[in-house]
Amino acid sequence: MTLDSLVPGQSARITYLEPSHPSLIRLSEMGFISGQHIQLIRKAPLGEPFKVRVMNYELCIRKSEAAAIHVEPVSLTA
Amino acid sequence: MTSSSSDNSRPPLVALVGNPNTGKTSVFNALCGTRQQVGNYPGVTVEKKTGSFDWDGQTIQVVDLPGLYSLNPLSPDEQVATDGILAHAPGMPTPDLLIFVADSTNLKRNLLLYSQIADTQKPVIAVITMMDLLDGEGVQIDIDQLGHCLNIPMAVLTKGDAKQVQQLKNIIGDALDQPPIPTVCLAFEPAIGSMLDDLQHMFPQISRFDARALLFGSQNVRVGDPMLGAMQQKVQALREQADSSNLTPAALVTQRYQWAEAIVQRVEKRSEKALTFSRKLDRILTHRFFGLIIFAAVMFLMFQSIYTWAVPFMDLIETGISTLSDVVGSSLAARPLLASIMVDGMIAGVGSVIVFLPQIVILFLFVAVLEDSGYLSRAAFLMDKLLGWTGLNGRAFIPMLSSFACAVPGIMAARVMPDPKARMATILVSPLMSCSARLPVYILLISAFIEPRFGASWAAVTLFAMHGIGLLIALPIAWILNKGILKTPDMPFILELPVYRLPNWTNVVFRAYEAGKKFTVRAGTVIFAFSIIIWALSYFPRPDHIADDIRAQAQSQDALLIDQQIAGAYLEQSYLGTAGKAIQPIFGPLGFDWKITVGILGAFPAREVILSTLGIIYQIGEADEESDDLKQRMAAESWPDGSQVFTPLVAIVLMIFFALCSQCMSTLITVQRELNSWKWAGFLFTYMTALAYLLSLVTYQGGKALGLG
Repeated sequence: MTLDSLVPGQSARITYLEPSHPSLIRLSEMGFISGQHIQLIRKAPLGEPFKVRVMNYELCIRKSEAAAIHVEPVSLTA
Repeated sequence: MTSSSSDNSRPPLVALVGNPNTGKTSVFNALCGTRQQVGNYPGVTVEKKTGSFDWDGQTIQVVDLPGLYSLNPLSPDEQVATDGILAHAPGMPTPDLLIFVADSTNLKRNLLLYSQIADTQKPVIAVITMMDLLDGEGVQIDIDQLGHCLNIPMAVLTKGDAKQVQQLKNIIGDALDQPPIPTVCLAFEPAIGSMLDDLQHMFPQISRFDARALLFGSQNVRVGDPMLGAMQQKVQALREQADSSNLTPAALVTQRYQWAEAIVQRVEKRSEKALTFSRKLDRILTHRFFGLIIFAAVMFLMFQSIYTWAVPFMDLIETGISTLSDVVGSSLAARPLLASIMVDGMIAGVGSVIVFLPQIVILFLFVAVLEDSGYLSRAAFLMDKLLGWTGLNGRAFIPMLSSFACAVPGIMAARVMPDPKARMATILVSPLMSCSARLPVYILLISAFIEPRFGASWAAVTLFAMHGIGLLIALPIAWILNKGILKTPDMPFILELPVYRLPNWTNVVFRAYEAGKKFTVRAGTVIFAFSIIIWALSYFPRPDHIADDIRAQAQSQDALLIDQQIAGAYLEQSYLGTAGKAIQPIFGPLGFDWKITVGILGAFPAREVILSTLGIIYQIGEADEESDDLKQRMAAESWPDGSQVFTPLVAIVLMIFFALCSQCMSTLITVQRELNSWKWAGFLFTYMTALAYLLSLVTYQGGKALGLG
C-alpha cells in the first residue's frame, strides 16, 4: 500500500519509492528512504496536501507524491 | 591568512550554507551585527545577504547563501546556493571557507547535505544551532564526538550567547589561517570520481559540477543543448556503468543516509517524549476547522492592519505632500509653468506613490513574522488545494491576499515562492485583486448612482461584488498563464513544516526596512520620470487665448469659478484631452463619453486620479469621493441628445472597468523590477486593459439589451 492510503495518525515503514516518480531524488533527499519510520499526521482541510513525519521532522507533500511512497503499516489504526 | 585566500587583494570570504530553517540568518546576524547589506544576485531575484566582521585586526567577509536541501537544486534559491558553494555564482568570488549550519534537532537530514558538500573537498567548518530545543525534543547530542566523526572544527551557537559568538569567530579565523583539512568523503566517491574523470577527459569543456549533474543529477544540465551526439553516447554508457554498480542517483542518496545514520547513532540519544509544545500548537493551527478559523483571523488582522494602522502615517505623508505643494506653489507663483511641473507633476506624482510606503512596511513586518515563526508554511499547507488546480501552490496565498490592500507589496511578497514561473504567474494575477486605491472610485460611483436609487443594501452588495470579481477572475487567469503561456512545470510541493519559534526581531525589522527602502528609491527614480510625462501631456499645449477668452466672456465675478473654468478648458485642449476625445469612439460602446475617457487616460499613474481629473473636467476644483459637488455634476451630465451619461448601468460598467484595468504606475514599475522585464509589465497592462474593456463591453451591451441603463 502507499502512504496516501494510511489513516491520519497511522504509522508505517517505507518499503520503496516508485522508481519512475519525477521527484524521486528530492523525496529521497528529504528523508523518504526505504526502512524509515513514517507517520501520516493529518490531511489538509480539502483532503490534500498531507502532513507527514519522517526522520523526526515534519513536512507536507501532495497526494501525487504520497502515492509514490510504498509503505507497510506498523500500526493498524491511529 | 594567506594560505587559503586565493587572492590577497581582497579580504577572505566565508559562506554560510545549510538547510532552510536552521537558523542560518541568526548565525549571520550574530557574526555581522548591523554590518550587513541586502542585494540581488545578478539576473535572479534571489536576495544576496552580505556582511563582515573583524577578527584579529582583519576584516572577514560573510555571505549568507540561501537555504538548500541538496546540491541537486530545484529552485532559483537552491541554484544560487549551489553555485555559491561550487564557486559558479555570478558576481561572487569563491568562498575561502564554508560554514555549514546544522539544526541539532534534525541532524540526520542536515548530514545529507553535509555529505554532498564534503564531497566537493572545499574547506568547511560546522556550526550547530537550536541546542536549546534539544531538551524539549528529548534528544542529547555529543558535539565533540560529532566533530570527531566529521573531522572538522565545530562550534555551537545559542541565541544571545556572546561567548559562543567569539568562539565561532576564533574558529573561523583559525580555519582561514591554516591549510584546509581534507574533508572525509564517502566510500563511493572514488568510483564516481573515476567516471567523472573519464567524461571530463573526453570532453574537457564541461566542468566537474556539470559532469556530475550529467551522470548523477536529477535534472537537465546547461551544457549546450542539444547535447552533442558523442557526449550523449558517452553519458549513456557511463550511466549504465553506474547503474550496474548500483550508483543510481537514488541509490547514492540511500548510501549517504546510511553514512548519516551511522554517525547519528554514535552522537545522538533520543528518548520518546510526549508531544512538544510546537507539535501541540500545530495540532490546532493545522486543524481542519480551527486551523482555518485561525488562518482567516490572522489574514483578517493582517489585511485590517494594512488598511487601518497605515492610515495615520498615510495622512501624515499626505499632509506633508500638500504642505510641500503649497509652499512650492506659492513661492513659484510668479512662474506658473515651473510651479505646475513641480506641484502637479513631480510632487503629486511621487507623492501619490510614496503614500503607500506605510502599507508596504506594515505588510512586510507581517510577512517576516509569519515566515520567521514558521506559520507561513502552515498557511501554505492549508491553502494549497484551493490554488493547486491553477498551477500555483499554497504559498501564492499571501501575495494574492496582500494585494487586496495594495498590489505593490503583494507583488513583492511573491518572493516567498521558490519556483520562478509560479511566482511570475502570481505576480501577474495579484493586481486583479481589488486594492484600496479602487475603493474611492467605487465609493464615489456607488454613493452617487447606486445607493440613492437602490438603497444601502444593494450599495453594500455592489461593493462586495467589486471585491469578489478580481479574485474570481484571477484563478482562471492563473490557470491559463501556468498551463498555456508560461508552461509552469508541475513542481512537487514538498514543504518542510519547521518547529514554531519566536521570530528573530532583528531580521523582521531589517526586512521591513529593506522593502521600504527599495520602494522609496523606485518612487524617486522611474515613477518620478513617468509623473513628469503624464503631467506634460495634461498641461501642453497651453495657448494664452483660451484663458483670455474665458475671462472676457465670464459673466460671473467669482474668481475661483473662472479659474476652474480655465483649468477645465486647458485640460480639454491638452494632448491628454485631445487624445481622450480622439479615442472616445473606442470607449463609446462601453457607454463612456469623452470626459470619462480623459479621466481613464489621466488615471494611468494611479486609479484614484480619475477623481481629481473628473473634478477638473467638471470644474469643481479639488474633488474626492465625498464631494457632493462632483456627484451632482456627474448626475447632471448628459449626452447631446439629452439622455443621462451616468445611468446606474454606466456606473457599474465604469466600476468593473476600474476593478480589472491596470491603471497603476507603481504596480507596473514594481512588476518590471521584480521580473526584470518591461515585456511582462507591458503584458500585464495589455491583458488587464483588454480584460477590463471586454467585460465592461459585455456588461454594458448586455445590460442595454436587457433594458437596463
